[in-house]
Amino acid sequence: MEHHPTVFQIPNFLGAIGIPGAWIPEHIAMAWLVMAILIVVSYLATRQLQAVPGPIQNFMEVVIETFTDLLTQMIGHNGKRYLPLIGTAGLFILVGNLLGAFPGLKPPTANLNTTAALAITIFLSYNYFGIREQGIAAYLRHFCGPILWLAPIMFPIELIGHLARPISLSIRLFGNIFGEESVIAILLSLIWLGIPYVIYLGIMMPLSLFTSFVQAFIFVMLSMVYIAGAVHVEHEEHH
Amino acid sequence: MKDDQTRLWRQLAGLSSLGITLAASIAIGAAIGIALDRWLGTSPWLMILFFIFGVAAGFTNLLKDLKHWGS
Repeated sequence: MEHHPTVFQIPNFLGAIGIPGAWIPEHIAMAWLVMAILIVVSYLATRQLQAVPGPIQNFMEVVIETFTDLLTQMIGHNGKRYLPLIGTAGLFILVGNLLGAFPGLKPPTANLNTTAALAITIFLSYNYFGIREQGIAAYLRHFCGPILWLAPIMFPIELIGHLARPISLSIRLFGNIFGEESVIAILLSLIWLGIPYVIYLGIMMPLSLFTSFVQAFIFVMLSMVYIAGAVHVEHEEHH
Repeated sequence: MKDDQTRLWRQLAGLSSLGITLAASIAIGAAIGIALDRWLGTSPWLMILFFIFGVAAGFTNLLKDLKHWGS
């Protein structure tokens, strides 16, 4: 929304490498804000690790444990290996989505470029993990299906199925957050009527918090399913 | 109770992707076909072929996901 400028803007110091405009684009500035928040919180949490954790360390431990539990459930005992990728993506999306709850800030995930970057990262990573675990020949053989003479038909079908994954990941996240953000922007522009204020606080606020968590969870969940599918396909076929 | 709830959330996550994946598969199939047609100058045959591939991929995924998440 052009008419709804954010309170947090960074002057464009990247004009030399071809970024246009007087300010850094909103979603990039917001993405940097999210990174800054995550870096500061992580630093505060790990600055002095203690056996009896303080509040911030305690909170971060719970967060990391939740991710680890989910990974172990979905991928298996060596699911922990993927914690850096999944945890980073999950926390980035969650904090980014929650920025929408603060007036004047915009969630970076309300822009298709951010979500596409995340989804493409996940897509390349899970293919890499699959190749690393199984070898490139074995990994590509799964694309050809069980019957050899059907391979020329199965290969493009599987390929298209895999290419659809990052698209569905990125568009779902973008669509949900952008829609929520647009509704909030419209409600805020009508706030002089009085009633929208009630709707905003009573309905949109809780709803947007809910969407933030659910969308971050869905993204993380599906990423784990994709990684699990790429890492042990043979395991699934035995069932 | 706790386990049931996490399972429910997981199913919600999995099933919520069905619609978009179906549409995205078909769109990607058609896009690949159009790109190949432009490259090889065989319009419209590869577009039709890959459109069918896309539909097949969409429904294959739909069935796979339903089997995986629906139970």
